[in-house]
Amino acid sequence: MKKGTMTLTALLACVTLAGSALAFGLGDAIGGAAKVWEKKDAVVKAGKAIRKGTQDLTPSEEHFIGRSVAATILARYKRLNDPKRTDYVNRVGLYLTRFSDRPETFGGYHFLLLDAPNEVNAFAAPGGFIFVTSGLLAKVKSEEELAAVLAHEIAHVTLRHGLEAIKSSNLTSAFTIIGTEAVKEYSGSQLASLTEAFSGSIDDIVNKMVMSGYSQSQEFDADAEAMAIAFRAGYDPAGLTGFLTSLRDAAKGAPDTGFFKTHPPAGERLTKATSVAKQKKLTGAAAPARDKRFGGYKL
Amino acid sequence: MNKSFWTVCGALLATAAVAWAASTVTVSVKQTSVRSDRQFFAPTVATAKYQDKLAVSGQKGDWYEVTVNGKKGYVHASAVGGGAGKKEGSSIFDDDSKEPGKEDVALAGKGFNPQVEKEYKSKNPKLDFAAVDAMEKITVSDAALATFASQGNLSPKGGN
Repeated sequence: MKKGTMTLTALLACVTLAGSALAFGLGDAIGGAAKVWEKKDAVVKAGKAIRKGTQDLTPSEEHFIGRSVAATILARYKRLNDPKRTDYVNRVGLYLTRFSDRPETFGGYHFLLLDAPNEVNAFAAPGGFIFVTSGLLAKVKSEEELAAVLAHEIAHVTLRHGLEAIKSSNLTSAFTIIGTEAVKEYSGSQLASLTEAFSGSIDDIVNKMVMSGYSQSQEFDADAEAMAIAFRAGYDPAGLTGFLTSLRDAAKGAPDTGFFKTHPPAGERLTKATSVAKQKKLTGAAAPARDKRFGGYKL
Repeated sequence: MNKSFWTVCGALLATAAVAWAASTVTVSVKQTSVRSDRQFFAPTVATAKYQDKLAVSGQKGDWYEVTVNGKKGYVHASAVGGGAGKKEGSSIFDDDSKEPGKEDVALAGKGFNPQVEKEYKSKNPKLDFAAVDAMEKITVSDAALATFASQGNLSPKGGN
């Protein structure tokens, strides 16, 4: 190798090595005082007006929104006093969260059974507060089907469907107040305005979850993600199609309430889910051990 | 190659090494486990809390290699991510302003926080926050989840 070529090769190697470290995020070490000032300025800006949409809510803000949505759900429904089944649902659900795109949220995922035997329904509040009615638990026929339902609700959290229900007027109002104040404690008028925006945001989410339901595309996306989560976790993704088949059959002549009111027709979801499973090769098999285990918790 | 060439190379590499060592992520969840391996059911070697800054020595997939209290381990990107709406792990140091968790540092405690919840609660006394507090206390340990998976013959095909 000629001397010039060696020099060029060595220089390129040095630059590449140094560059890769810098690309890993380290501009701070090089720029001295000027960079420090830029960083300080960036921190200030981050507290000001650059937040625009739901994607800019922090995990802790999502948590506090989720808590208030959950408190609203729990004011409408009584929790099912059944520690054994609640623990079982939490084990299935928490295991599944580890295979989602977002295994950790600010306060973690928590699952609760609601005492509503005549309603087949489930809700997912932002941050990971997930509710399943006793009517739905009675409807699932296996752990695979229960996993499918829980994975669908987890998907609503990871895909931020609850947060997306917040109207931009409420967000804009909140971000304007937050952005202009460099304090963590708010005074009277600021607190009143911020609470009003917060209240509006909670109403937006609850109305979407309980009354109007998510859009068809959001439900289809949650179904597709649910099958992917179940597949990665080792469950048979066909648990979803099995449950949707039961729902489709139950929907015939059923009153247009609860789940049937807020979700697209089960037949349409079944067609879409079957297609996604085939396209993405999401296959699996049930296991006698899980079927036997589920038998001990069946309502 | 002359001496000045190697001096330049050495300076570049030294700068890169210092920069690498200075890299951090900030915890954006209440608490997270630092694990001995890149998977959720690996043993916990340390615990990190909200707003802790962790020194990063590498990143692979959705996991950061970090050092906490002298112990090396791994944290998942979703525990140090930025906004709630972002796909965690997607903004890996591509520019300084997107350093994971950095936005939370500026916004920590601001916005929709306990003070706002308290005010909202006082205006809506019928909402059941006590039940939410009880719900948040429901947890299952990683060890119990691993046993649960094993007893159910669950064999993961991917994920974390």
